Amino acid sequence: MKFLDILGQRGKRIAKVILLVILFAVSIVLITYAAVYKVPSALNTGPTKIIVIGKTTSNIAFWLSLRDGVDVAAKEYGIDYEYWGPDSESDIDTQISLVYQAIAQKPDAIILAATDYGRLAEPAKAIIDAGIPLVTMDSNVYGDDGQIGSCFVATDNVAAGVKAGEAMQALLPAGKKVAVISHQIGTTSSRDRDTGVRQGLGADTFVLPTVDAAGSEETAYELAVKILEDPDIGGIICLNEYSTTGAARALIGAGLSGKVLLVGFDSSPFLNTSMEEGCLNATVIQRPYNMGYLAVVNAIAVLDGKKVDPFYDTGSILVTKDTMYLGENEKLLFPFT
Amino acid sequence: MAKAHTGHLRNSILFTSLFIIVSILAILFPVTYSIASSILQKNSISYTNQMLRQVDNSINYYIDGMISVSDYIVENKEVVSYLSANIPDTSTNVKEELQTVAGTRPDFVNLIIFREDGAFVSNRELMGINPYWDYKESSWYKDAITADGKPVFSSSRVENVVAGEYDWVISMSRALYSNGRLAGVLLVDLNYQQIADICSSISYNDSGYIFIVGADGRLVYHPQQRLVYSGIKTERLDMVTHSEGIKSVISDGYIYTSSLSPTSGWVTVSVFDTNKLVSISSDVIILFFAIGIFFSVITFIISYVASKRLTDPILQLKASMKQFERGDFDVKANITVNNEVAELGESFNVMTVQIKNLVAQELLIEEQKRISELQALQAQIRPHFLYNTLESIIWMSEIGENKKVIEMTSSLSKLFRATTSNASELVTLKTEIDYVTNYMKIQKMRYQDKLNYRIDVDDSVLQAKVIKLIIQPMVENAIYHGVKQLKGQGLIIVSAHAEEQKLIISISDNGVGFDKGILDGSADFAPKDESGIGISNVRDRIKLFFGSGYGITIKSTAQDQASPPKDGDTEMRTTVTLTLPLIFE
Repeated sequence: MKFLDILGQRGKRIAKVILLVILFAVSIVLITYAAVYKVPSALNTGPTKIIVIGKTTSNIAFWLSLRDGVDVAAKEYGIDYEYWGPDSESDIDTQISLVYQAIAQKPDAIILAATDYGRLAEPAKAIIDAGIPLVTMDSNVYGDDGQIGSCFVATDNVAAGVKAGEAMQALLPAGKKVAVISHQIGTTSSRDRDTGVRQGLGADTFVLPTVDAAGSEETAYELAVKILEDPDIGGIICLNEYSTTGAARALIGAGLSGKVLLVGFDSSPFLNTSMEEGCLNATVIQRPYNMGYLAVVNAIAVLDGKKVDPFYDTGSILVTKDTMYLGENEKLLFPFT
Repeated sequence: MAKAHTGHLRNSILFTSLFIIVSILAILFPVTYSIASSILQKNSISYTNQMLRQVDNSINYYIDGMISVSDYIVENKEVVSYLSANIPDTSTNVKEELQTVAGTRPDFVNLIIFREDGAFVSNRELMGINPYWDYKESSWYKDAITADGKPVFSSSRVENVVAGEYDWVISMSRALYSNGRLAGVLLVDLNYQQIADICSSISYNDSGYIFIVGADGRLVYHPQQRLVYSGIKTERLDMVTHSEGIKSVISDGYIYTSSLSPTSGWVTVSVFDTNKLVSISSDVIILFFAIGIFFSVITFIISYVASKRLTDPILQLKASMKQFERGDFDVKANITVNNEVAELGESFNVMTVQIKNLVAQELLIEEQKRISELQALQAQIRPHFLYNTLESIIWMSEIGENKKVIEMTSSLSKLFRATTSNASELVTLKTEIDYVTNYMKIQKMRYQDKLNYRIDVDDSVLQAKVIKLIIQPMVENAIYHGVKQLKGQGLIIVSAHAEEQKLIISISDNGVGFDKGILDGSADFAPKDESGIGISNVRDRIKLFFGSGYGITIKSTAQDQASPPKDGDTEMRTTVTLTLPLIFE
């Protein structure tokens, strides 16, 4: 402090006081800065992470659209997510192992579209036991006490099935039989749609026992070819996109396009063309985009401790050739990526 | 208790400064906050407008591009020739023209001329026209016919006119005429992705977005179009202003800014969520409170130190004053700081010194006064007696009584030695009695048989201390005012004894007694004559020396002028009693 000598005794003291005040001020400013900018980020251990396990990672329009919805919601709420799933919807074992892998990663929440409502119950329970919130979408899982997840976001498949059944019933010539091709009999979507379809067709309509395409378009095609051998078949109802595609191919191949009625579920460029051609008479479209979006929204709500409805119906729409390009239908049939 | 008081002073300084700083912050914060928010809001509106103009410009670039392309095509000779359906067929040339135009604009999906006769030319090789739809039923076609040659813009839509292709496009259609007759319709499809990219690229830090409403009221673009369509999200289309220029409407913290494009009829709308601004401001609030706390702490510390610097010397000064109050005149206030309080301390110190000097001076004066008084009183005795004695000596010398003169002079000499020899004010009773005896001897010589005296003092009190020259004046009075007036023989008795720690000295005589007035108190011993002087002197001296509890009492049979005492009357009519404290050194 020799250089301060020039200030004299009094000046030195003032200088010391000023120095102290400045030091104090700087430290307070630093603390404030840290409090405002560093602490919140320190408290926040990165963004929320959700693992979404779908039924398939293949380029099925439905799942692509659903993933779009997940992506939009994730961006909107600023969360991180990973989309996992087996290659094929019928690969239940892979999905089960994926669930356990997901649990091991300790995400903030898991969203699951179960490929089998019974076999996925055990893994789903493991998710809950690990303390990870579970939201199910599209297809549910059930334990002994009913629904395992906090929230199930899906199309009301019974209602959707009723729409398909009623559409078929309206067009079906008298005395003709109806066949139903399921995509994967073990899933709730298949079971519920089947139930709805039979309701929509009514008790008077002769409906063949539901056959299972078991996750394969090819199987659906083969099943449809077989079904078409019966001359009394007036219509086929398929419970999802690829089973509908398989049946449409069979109809076209057999030259029965427009002659034997086809009512399906979901859409694809091929099915859109089929509908324009008149091969596909009606299709019940879901809102996979909304489903993905709302599954994430509800998962976030669960994480935020908000009360969520155990079931969120994303709705379904029956589309015919005449309503293809109307409003929302256009967006649903021709997903814009 | 003194602490509590100074505590009040310091606390009031502390709380005053805290109150001031908190008040300033309390006023400053809302004002700053509201100004900042309004600036922020203004800025965001102007930023939004800027962004909106940018988006508008980009969109108009495509729209204008489509219009200028259509203008070019309409005027193109090959096209005109093709529309007139003249032979030879110029469709190949038209195709080349269309390809050339499309080549400049890769964002064009389709450039197709539909002739009224069903023929068409496209810029691309197509699988064909979608056989399942009659394009003449499409709205783009019908609207073009209705628009009468003016370009018409669609909302975003799926182009289904080409077989096997379902592209999301924005369509511009325009009716084509040949020789004044409707000859066909031109369809220009712009890749919707272009518009979507422009709009989605605009993001106001997640607090806003842009959407476009077509002339038909349908959404051309919305970042969450599917959610809006299915009702999960709602868009306030009522907030959209369909008028020229940029207009902002604010509702529920959302700023809706609309901009109408006259060529396309589209309204570009930006939505800005000012509630997000508030969340930005929460940082500001935290910062402000931190600053507030910081300044409060700083103020507290500074005012604490300052008030300590102020109150400490005041405390010091107060303590000094207390000490001073208790009578310690030597107290000095040591104020180390350098301010007004120090000056006050200095003044205090000066004051204490002055007061101390004054008191000392006062004491000195008082002492001197007392001494001089005493001396004066003592001195008062002398001339009185001296006259008389000297007169007696003169008289005795005249009659030749030398022996008596010697004796008298000797006694007088002893008397004076006694009064002058000892500087001390107090003497033993014995000394005083000796003195009285000497005096009596002198007087006896003057008055002969007319004066008799007796000294009757307890041996026990001989060594008691008395003020000197208090008995003699009483004796003198007894002689001059009592015995002298008497026709017969006079008798004076001087006695002394102890009584309840007091020394009682009585001088009794059988003289004529006192005036009535002096006895009943209506007159004082004021020195109107010689008698008063002696008594009042002695009384004053006793009271000065020993306090008011001591003094002189006189008991006297009232003097009766009508029947003066007869000769040989030995009744002791007057007794003067001196009451003094009994002290032996």
